[in-house]
Amino acid sequence: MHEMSIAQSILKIVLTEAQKNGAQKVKVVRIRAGQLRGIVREQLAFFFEFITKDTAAEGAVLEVEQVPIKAQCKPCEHTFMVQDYKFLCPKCQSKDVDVVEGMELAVKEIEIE
Amino acid sequence: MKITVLDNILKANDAIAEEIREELASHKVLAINLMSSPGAGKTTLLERTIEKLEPLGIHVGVVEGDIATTRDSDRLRKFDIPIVQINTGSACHLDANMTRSALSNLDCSAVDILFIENVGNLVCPAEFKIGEDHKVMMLSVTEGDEKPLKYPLMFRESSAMLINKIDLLAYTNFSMDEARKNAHSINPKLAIFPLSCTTGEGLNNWLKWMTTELEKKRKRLQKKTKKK
Repeated sequence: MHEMSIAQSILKIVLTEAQKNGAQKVKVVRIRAGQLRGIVREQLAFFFEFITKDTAAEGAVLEVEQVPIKAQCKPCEHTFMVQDYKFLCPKCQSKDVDVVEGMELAVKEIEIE
Repeated sequence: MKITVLDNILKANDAIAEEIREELASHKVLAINLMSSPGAGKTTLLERTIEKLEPLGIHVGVVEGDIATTRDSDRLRKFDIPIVQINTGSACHLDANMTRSALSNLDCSAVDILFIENVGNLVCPAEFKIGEDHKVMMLSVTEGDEKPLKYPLMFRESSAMLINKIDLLAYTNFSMDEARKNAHSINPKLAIFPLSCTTGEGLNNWLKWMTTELEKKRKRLQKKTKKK
């Protein structure tokens, strides 16, 4: 259900950008969502549709790009994709790893007219 | 026309969280964002923790997050401590804005450790920073040892995990080893404290962790002021 708050934050950013660029209508909104964020795409789209009514973003398509989790090992600096949430370096078996991708939650671009 | 935006969706929330963090630091308060599923025992933990900390001269303040009722904060009224209630309405988590307005009604100058009891939920609260020093999550043995794998963000973001209701272990198929293994595969640095708020077993380890963190924070702040 954090999708509702997130949809509201997205709309705020989108409407600000739309106004800045003198848009009449927002057609597409593309967001990047890291896998660790646990965003349910359908739920987010549902809330987004609901709250955009009577705004410049009414009817806009919300596209969600899911970003898989990538980590970098601190001791050996090896970069790897994290499967099944196992934060373990496949090269040196260290557990001391930093998440470098998979935590993002951003509005990437919008299409306006 | 395509417009590149690249704007962090949680930016507004995170900025307010940072303000709260600075405000709390100015009062040398250690803030703990306490999270769990409903019924894991957050409020009982607070009762036991306040009972133990107050005699040590460590003053506790509480922000109670709840969707609709004041039942949790009512349970804590018996203690002579600052408590402020947030009713989130329909929201399933606290965010920085709600926390800031709650804190404007709480005198932090007499508080050493501030507990912010989040809404019972293993998903959404992990997403929103509220100015805390540590996220602490509580799992109870009746919930199952596979929870870390189902709710990875919460376990990844937390500094400590309390495993409550260990007095009921014999009646469940919860494996302490499995829970540790699952939690540590997601977050190897997670401090884990099995305990029972009913019998009091294991509570001292949790208290010790907190008081150590309080000292660490105060030392860090002292160093900072010296530098200035």
